[in-house]
Amino acid sequence: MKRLLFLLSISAATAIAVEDWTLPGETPALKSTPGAELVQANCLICHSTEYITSQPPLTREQWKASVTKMQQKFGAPLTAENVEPLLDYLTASYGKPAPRP
Amino acid sequence: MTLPFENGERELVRYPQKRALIRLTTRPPQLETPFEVFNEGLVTPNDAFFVRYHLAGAPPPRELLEPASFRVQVLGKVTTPLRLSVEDLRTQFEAVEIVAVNQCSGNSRGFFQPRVVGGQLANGAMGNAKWKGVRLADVLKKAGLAAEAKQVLFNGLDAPPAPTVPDFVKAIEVEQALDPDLLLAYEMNGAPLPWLNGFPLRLVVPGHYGTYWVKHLHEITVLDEPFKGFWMDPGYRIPDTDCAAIEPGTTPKRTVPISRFNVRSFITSLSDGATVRAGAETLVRGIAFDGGHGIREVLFSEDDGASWRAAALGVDLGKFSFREWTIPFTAKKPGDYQLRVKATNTLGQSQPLDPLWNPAGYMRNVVETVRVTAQSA
Repeated sequence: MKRLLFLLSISAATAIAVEDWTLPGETPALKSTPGAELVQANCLICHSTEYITSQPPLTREQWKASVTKMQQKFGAPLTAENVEPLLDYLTASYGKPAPRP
Repeated sequence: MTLPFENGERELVRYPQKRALIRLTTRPPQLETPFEVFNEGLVTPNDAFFVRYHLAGAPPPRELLEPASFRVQVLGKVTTPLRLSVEDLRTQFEAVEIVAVNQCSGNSRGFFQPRVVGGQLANGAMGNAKWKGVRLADVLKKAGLAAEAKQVLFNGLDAPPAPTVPDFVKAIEVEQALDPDLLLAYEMNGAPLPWLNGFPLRLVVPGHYGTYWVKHLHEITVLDEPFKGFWMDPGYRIPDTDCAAIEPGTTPKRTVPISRFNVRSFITSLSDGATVRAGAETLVRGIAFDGGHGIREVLFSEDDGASWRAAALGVDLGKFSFREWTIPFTAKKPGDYQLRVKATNTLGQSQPLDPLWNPAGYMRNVVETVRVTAQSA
């Protein structure tokens, strides 16, 4: 019975119309080492920084796989000469060194 | 706050119609439910329900969602194309209610080892709600499916930010679309859908991962051939193996679209690192759910899985709902205890003692462990 009352109380408590149609702004910043401008120009047009900053430390290979997916499947406007500099930035700022051979 | 994995620092942020939730991303918004909410009750309140979007054009703006102008269309291989307002759905079709869990495919991805790329979620990308709407099958029958109908495609108003970005569109087989459990839902827990959970209309696919529950649903297209869009292939696919698992770090040979939830269970009344009083009885409670076959049994261990006892199952809100379980636990002497919980559904499917792995970080369902310390009275 307690549970039923709980269920009923939910209905009243959540019957809120959409009144506020504004979303909180973007706050997280990128590490401002050289290459950040490539992220700004090629990545942030489609998504916020946390898509990068919330990842676990990724190897260069893993970052490369993500960047390739963004180019090939999502049409990121990254030019060929900027791929390696972008990977340098991502790996240095949000990555981990490759295991020693 | 910090989620319990590397780089798990997150902000708690308030969004429209939401209490402070764990923010994963801002554009598009992705919000996770703080885990303690699951101990408040079996139904997840609307203001705490998780939010998942794919494209930076989401959520759609107010002007696209006004009830006066919003319409859902039924198109493609049908006898009579339809164009319906939410009011039309409310007045021309039988209303149905179902309590069902929605869970993100990547719920708990942050716990994968080795870690995988994607939304780094803890266990809060799930929720249980009472959905109200009309049967998709009734709407499709009114439109009249053509004999050659094979799949049904669902598109919402969350638009891609650039023409090169694949629109978020999902397909299901026609047989599944006619399942009476599938709803076009306009209410959640007795209120209109929150903006960030699909207002004014979303697809509800009980027992199936949230990727199919298309929000702000405005186009239903019946196809005579399989749909091959990005979000069906290569997106949202799992290894075609037992339990969707492969050797960690490897690549699957063959994949299939993700579909039903596997079995999961959680302790909700005690969090990791909690303390209890030695010699005193504590009623431990939690939740269990599966892909819609129903939970048959929940086992509890206080000795890291060496021995198991059956928990008592609570009120049954239907086979697609969270099922509550409770069990008394007394730590006989001071020290550390590893509490574990394992559910089994009516088909006999259960949970693995050690985590399984796949490259997309989907479908985690390991037997969970909560470590508590008993202190002398």
